[in-house]
Amino acid sequence: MKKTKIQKSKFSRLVYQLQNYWKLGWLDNKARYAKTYLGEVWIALSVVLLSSVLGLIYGDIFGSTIDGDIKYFSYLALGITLWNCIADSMALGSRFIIESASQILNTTYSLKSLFLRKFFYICQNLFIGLASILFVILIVNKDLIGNYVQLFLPLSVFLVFNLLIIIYFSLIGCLIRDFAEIVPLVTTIIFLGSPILYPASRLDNFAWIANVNIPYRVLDIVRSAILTGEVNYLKCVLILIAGLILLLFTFAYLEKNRTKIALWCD
Amino acid sequence: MTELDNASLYLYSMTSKGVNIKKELVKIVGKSLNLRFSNKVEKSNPSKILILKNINVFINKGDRIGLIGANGSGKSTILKLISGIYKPSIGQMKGDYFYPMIIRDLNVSDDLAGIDAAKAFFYQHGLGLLGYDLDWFVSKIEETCSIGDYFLRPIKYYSEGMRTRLIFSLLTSVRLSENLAIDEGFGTGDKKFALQAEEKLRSFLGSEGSLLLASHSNDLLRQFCKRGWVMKGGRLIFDGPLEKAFSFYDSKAYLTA
Repeated sequence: MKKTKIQKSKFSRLVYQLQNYWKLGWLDNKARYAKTYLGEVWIALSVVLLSSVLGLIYGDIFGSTIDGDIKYFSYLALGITLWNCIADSMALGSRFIIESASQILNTTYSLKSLFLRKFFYICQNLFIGLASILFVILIVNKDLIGNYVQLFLPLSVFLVFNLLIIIYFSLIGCLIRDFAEIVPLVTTIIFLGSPILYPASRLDNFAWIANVNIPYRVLDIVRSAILTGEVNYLKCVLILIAGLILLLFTFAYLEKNRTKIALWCD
Repeated sequence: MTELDNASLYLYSMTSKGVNIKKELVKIVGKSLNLRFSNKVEKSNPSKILILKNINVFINKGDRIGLIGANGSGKSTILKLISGIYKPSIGQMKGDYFYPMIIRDLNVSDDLAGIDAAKAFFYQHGLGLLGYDLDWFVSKIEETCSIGDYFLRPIKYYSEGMRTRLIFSLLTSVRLSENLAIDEGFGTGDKKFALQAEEKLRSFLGSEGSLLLASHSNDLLRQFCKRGWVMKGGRLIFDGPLEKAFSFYDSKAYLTA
């Protein structure tokens, strides 16, 4: 039966709406794995399988431990899991407005709701992949469990960065059609050029490659927090605040120019 | 009550390829070499197109308006303007927005079932905040769309009629607005559904709800509307009783307007 109207504060309404977008993102994940035998288990399985296979191959080259006592498998698995999230954000973002143009131009759905739905879809993939990898890492390296508790802040920075990627890549993608074609190439180059597969210490004179590589640096904030327990709280808070402010302005701009943006890809 | 006060709408459009990197590079290189550009390259700039011109209308509570006009006359665009999808570039819109029933999209992948589409509708519109219960909503949709077991099967197996039933049920099960803007009726459906839809729409609108219905079917317009707007080239050239609007549309006055 229909319930009576509920009075909620602004904050609880916001939380409720975010929960709704999360559920919409989950429906997209459900659709992606519809008719597969393992369903969403594939998210976890694919990351663990990829990390194990690459770990076996590259572990032979770089050794089973790097930079002291960090297990190479843990370093690689976390790198791949986090990188997959960034690469997904870039790829999905670059086509997002083009693919959603019909919805934007024919419904009153806010752009914010459409972006957050896609963002949560990516978050869910990250959380399942990361949870399974963190579980495997615990088996390999039990000492790291203490580092897990301080993951919240670095992970928040990482997620806000991904949401910004989705939004800005989608805007560039609808202005420049060639962009969506370039993105897979760029993500592959960044992946191979960043110390994700190999230890950062191997870069020697080319350390600047990692320093100017913003996606890698954001990735490394989370990876370092787990592997070394090092979290620069001040840096994280400042980046997070800057990211959230940018996000608020971006959402305000998007809503103001909703129609214009959709028509860019007309 | 809704009013469009001298509203005009410009849309900004690009070429079908948007900004093309190749063309932009040619431009940059060409400029550095002092080359002249052909008009073809210059045309890739965003262009401002006047879509609706000086629309002045007043919609009272309970008005049922049929939109008449050839393809490209601006019928769908005015529906989008009144629904708040577009904002007037010049002039203003005052009063209540209309709820758009323009897109025949279920907001979920065709690999998901009707029940998932119902959930997606519930989440997207935040119906929980309006006091609705998810289980109540889903069972209401299941009951009203009357597609039986198909409600739990993937949408890709639905016939066009089943799809229409589901969409119509979703859009009319909860009153998101008293006013509706509908483009081209409800799509395909059998006679029984057409009757149900008519009855449902009438009770949905009640006596206070307003309707804007764009269609090329005079029968459909007669079924629901009393007032008619005739559109041509983005202008509203006739506003009056529906039958007079039909006559105007078929007259020489329309051709010369």
